[in-house]
Order: sequence, then C-alpha cells, then structure tokens
Amino acid sequence: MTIGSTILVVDDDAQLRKFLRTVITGHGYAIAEAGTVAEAISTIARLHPSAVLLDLGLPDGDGLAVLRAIPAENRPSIIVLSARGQEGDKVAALDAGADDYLTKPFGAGELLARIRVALRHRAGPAVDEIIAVGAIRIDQPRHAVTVEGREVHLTPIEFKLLVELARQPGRVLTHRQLLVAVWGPNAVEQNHYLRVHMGALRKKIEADPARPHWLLTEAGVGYRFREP
Amino acid sequence: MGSDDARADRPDVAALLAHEARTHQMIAPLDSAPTPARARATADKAAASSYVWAVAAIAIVTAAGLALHPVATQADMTMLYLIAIAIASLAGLGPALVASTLAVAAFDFCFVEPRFTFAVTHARSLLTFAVMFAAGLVISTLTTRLRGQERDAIIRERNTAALLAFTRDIAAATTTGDVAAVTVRHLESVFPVAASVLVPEHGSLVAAAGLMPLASQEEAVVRWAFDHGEAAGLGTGTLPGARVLAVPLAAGESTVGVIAVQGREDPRRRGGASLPVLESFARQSGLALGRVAAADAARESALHAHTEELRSSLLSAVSHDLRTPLAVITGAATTLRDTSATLSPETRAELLTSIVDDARRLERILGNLLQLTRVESGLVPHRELVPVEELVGAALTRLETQLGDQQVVLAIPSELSVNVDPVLFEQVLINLLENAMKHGAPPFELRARAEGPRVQLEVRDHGAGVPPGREARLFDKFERASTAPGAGLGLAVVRAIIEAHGGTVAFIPPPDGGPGACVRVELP
Repeated sequence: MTIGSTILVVDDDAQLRKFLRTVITGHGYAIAEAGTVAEAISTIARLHPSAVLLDLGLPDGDGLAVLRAIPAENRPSIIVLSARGQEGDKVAALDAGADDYLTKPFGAGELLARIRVALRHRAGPAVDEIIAVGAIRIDQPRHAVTVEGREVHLTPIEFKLLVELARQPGRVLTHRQLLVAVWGPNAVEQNHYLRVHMGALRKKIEADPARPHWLLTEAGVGYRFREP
Repeated sequence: MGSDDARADRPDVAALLAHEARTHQMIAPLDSAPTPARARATADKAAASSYVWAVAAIAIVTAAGLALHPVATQADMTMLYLIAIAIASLAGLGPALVASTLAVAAFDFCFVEPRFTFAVTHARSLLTFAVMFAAGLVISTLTTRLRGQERDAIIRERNTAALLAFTRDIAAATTTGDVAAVTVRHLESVFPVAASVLVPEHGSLVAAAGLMPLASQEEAVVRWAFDHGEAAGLGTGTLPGARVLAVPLAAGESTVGVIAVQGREDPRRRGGASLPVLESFARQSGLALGRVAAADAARESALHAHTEELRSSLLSAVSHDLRTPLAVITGAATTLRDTSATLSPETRAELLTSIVDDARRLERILGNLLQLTRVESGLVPHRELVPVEELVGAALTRLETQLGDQQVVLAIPSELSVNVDPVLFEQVLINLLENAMKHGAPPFELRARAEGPRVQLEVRDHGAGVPPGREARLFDKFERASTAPGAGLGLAVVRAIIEAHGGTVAFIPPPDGGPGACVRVELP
C-alpha cells in the first residue's frame, strides 16, 4: 500500500543521509534528499513526498521553519530527528504540526516503524466506530471497552483519553495535544491533571500499571499507544 | 570649574549630615556622644552649672564664716576659702579663676577691717589677698592637670579595650567584606565619625563597607593615601584642609586598602590619642585583609589544581572509555568489510552484535557526559508534579531490551507523586538501574515511599554490594565499583541531578540486612 511512497530526507550530514538512503530504498520507498531549509521547502512543493524526515538543526535555520512554511492541508507526514535532551524542541515541533520524532541515534527497525506509522496516519486518525488494537477493543457508540475480552469501566475522561491515543497507535501525542482533545483548549497547562487520569486509566487497562504495555510514557513529551 | 563643583558639593554635605545623624543614632559610642547640637547645648549647660557651683562654694564658705565670725579668725577663713577654690577647680580652670577672684573679694568685704567695705587699711592684708589668689591659682592648675591626666588615662584605657575588642572580632573575619564591615563598625563605635573601608577593584577604590559620599577632592585624598601609603587629609601634613582623614591599610609591603573617616569633630583631637589609635586599627585591619587575600589565593590555586585534575581525568576517561568501544566498532566493521567472504555466518552475526552493543555503550557514555555538563553548568530543572509510578514505567520501558528477563520487584504507591523534572528524573532511574545491572545481580528492587514531606526512593540489587569505605566516592566522576566496563559517570549524573533538585543520594546498607547494594534517593 505505501510501497512506492516518496520519503524526503532533510539533513545536512552526508553520512547520515547515506545510511537513511540505504535503509529507505532497501524497503521499497523512493527517496529525495535536501540539506537546507530552502531546499526542503522547494522539494516538498515540487515532489509532494508522503513523509519527511526532518533534522531540526540545519545550516540555514531551524527545521521548524520548514513546518511553518508549508500549509497544514497539503503537509506531508513529518518526523523530526533530534537528540536526547532536546525534549523542549521535540514538543515545540510536535505542537507545531510534526507527526512524530526520532531520537538520534536510532536503529533501522525503529526508523521504519515510525515511517510506517506516519504514513498510516497520513489519512488522518481512525474514525471507525469500533477500534481494535491488540487486546483492546473500544466500542465508541456504546462507550464500552474490553481488555482481552474482559470489560472495564472507564470514566468519560478516561474513555476520551484512551480513544484519542488508541486511534493513532504508535504515534506520540504531546501533553498539550491530549489536554486540548480531552478537556478543551483552556486546559493546556494542566499536565498533572492529565498524569493523574493517565495513572487511573493505566490501572484499569494495564496488567501492571508501573510496567505499562500499551500506554507508554515519553518523558517530557507526552504519551504513545504501543503499536501492536 | 568652581560653580560646577560647588553645586556638586552641596548634596554631599546634606548627605554627610544625614549620615552623621544616622550614625550617632544607631551606634552608641563609648562616651555616648550626643548629636552635635545637643552636645553643644549640654556642654554650655555643664559650663554654666560649674560656674554656679564655684559661686555657690564661695557663698557657702562666706555664710559659714559670717555665722562663726567671732570664733573663726581671718587665718581660718583663708583656709576655708582655699578649700572652696580647690572644690571649684574640680569643675575646670575657669570656675577656679572665678572662685579665686570671688574668694578674695568676699574675704576683703566680709572679714577684713573695716568690714563690709572693700577698703583696706593694712598693707599686710594686700599680701594675704595676693597669697590667697596665688594659692588658688596653683591649686586649680594642678587639679585641672590631674583631671586631664585622669581623662587621658580613661580614654587610653577605653581605646585599648576598643582595640582589643576589634582585634578579637577581626580575627574571625574571613572575607574582605567581613574585615571591612568589622573595621567600620568598631571605628564608628569608638569615634563619633562616619567610617568607610575602601579597597582597590579594577583599578579604582570602592567601598567594601561603610557608605560615605566622597566629593572629588576627598576622593583625591583617599587616592593619595592609597598610592603613597601614608595618612592624608584632615590634620595631617598632606591636604590638611580636607574634611576626610584617610589612613592606608598595609599588608606587608603593599597597601591593600584605605580607611576613610569624617565627622563632626577632628578625630585626632579626641583625647589626643586618636590618630595613633586610628593607625592601630588600620594596622590590624590591613593585616586581616592581607590574611584574607592569602587565604583566597590559596583557595583559588586549590580550585585551579582541582579543575586541572578534573580536566586531566576527563581527558583520560575520554581517551580510554570512548576509544574502547570505538576500537571494537572499527575492528568489527573492518573485519566484516575486508574478510566477509571467509567468515562463518555465526562470526558475522557476532561481529554485528558487538558493533551495535558498543555503539550503544558509546552513546550512553556521551549521553552521561553531556547530561553532567548540562546539569553542572547550572541547568534549572523543569519541575512538574509527576506520579512516581509513571517515572518508573517510562524508565523500565526504555530499559526493556537491556533488562530482558531479569526480575525487577516494584513497591510504589500509585498515588505517590514527586515534583521533579521528568526527563532528568527518568535519567536518574535509568542510571541507577543500569548501575545495579552492571555491578550487582538480580533480583532488583525499586521502592518508593513518602516520609513526611519528603519522598524516599530506593534501588537495591542482590550482588556483592559496595566495597566498604567507598560508598561516598562512587558518586564522584570516573569512579567505578567493579571492573565492569563504563566510564564511571552514571552515578555522578545521578548525584548532580538529585542535588539540582535539592535532594540527596547515598548508598545505605540494605534495610533487610541481606546482601547487595542499596541506593537511597531523598527528595524534598
């Protein structure tokens, strides 16, 4: 389905591009490359790639400039490449419209998984009435959730939180994105609130809430529903 | 220049007066010197009362003489008047002179024939008057001198006591600011002056203690005293017209500062002993400044040596701990590239695994090194209230592959939250668990609990434990508990992060008395 999609790699390091080229073309995708913000913007306009791997530190500016230059409606899926310790940058990129991030250094498996998730979600999150991910089944019209066939009772907020994460499995959602989706735009600074409800949700969904299998924490960024 | 200077001077005068008033209100000098105006009034009152006292003494003696007239002879009266003069002379030379004059007049009027006139019949009486006046003069001069010596002795004693107290206090001062503050405080309590200690800083003299507005002329006095190492200003040989007296502070050969005093009175004239006393203060203060400077220099050089040591150990760590994994990666990769055809599939897989493993190891070392640099250079933790359960979950997710099937026992109350930087704290948990995996043995235990307002978190393993006596040093950079590979940075990162959060971390004996090592983190 996604084989043949074009992936644009935006990074100024030739060696890293070589590695990415090998992995990406080796898995049936087409590749385009850019080394600067300006090149990236013109290449996106010309080639309409399905996904972009975007390094944040480019020689002619911040990678976020690429995000800002492209209108949201025809924006490809964007995966930000950054180092650990730059959680603030990651959050800024995600809140500005990036789809996901990868922390350097990363392995080929991780990279391909992220590309797969990003391409899958390019069409938008699942709108199905019934979401089934792994052992979890969510019946939206009935507000019913089962884990391995066992029914669990969620509060309306826990239910909304679970739906928001589960309909985009594998994709990271920032605290801000979740707060806006569940509580509305006025709740953006209530991270602790979100954490408490996430704790309660884990207690009901996870076998061991301190060792979550489905609802993963991305420290300093947000949460991710594990891709089954 | 004149008009400008005059204008510039005026606020200074006002400020000086205000300062003087403040100084005298706040600090009670040893002689409890009152404010200038009140002092003058008090002195006037004292002078007036001592004259009244002189007149009264003569009047009493005269009255007594009149009452005893037939009995007391003229000779007796002379003696009584001399006593009155002696008493009056206690109040000073002026009252003594007044008393002497009055005594001669009263004696003549009341007791010399013809009585109740100033007429004198016998020439002998004139001689009596002269002797009486002369005796009065001698008595009062001697008494006044004695009183003066007594006052000088009191002042000397007071100054000695003040200097002793000063010496005692200054010995405890450990910084330039302390020395300056102690000097100013003591000077202002001994003399009715405003004092300031100025020290050189970037080529100019700045007040280290005692605020004193200095006009440009006074600044020049202070500067001169500093440059020449001699007292200058008010009452000295140099610029004697200045309002300020500047005494240099000498430490050995060099001048390390200046004491500047200015006030209502000429401080040199306070008991005639003040300039020497001021110089004694300056000597002690200078020595103390010299001592502080020497201590600072020693500390600085120790710090420098420590930094150097750290830098060289960092270099050796970088050269060893970064090169080792690099050597593995280079070796394995070149083997694969050059001799791929002759390698068995197992060997190839083995080489590839070691490339991946050592690249990860390299990343861990670099990550810790960067994290340590970041925290030690003053990174402010971005604190949020986070459930401990979530922090532990995030750390365990990241360690999933490393942990494999090694058991981690958790005891974490689900409602327990801590106010920490989630990213940094995840690193703390990862480093503690990695440390347990590297140097200890499973099962690992991770417990958290609230202890009053503090949160305690323990990571424990069942390995050989910590070498006794090295518990504290293991949190230092480049310290390793065993020969397992690593740069000895993991625990240093833990300590740096925990301390940036205002918490503590230490090895404790395992609470159940069993084998293994246990690290306890305590957060406020």
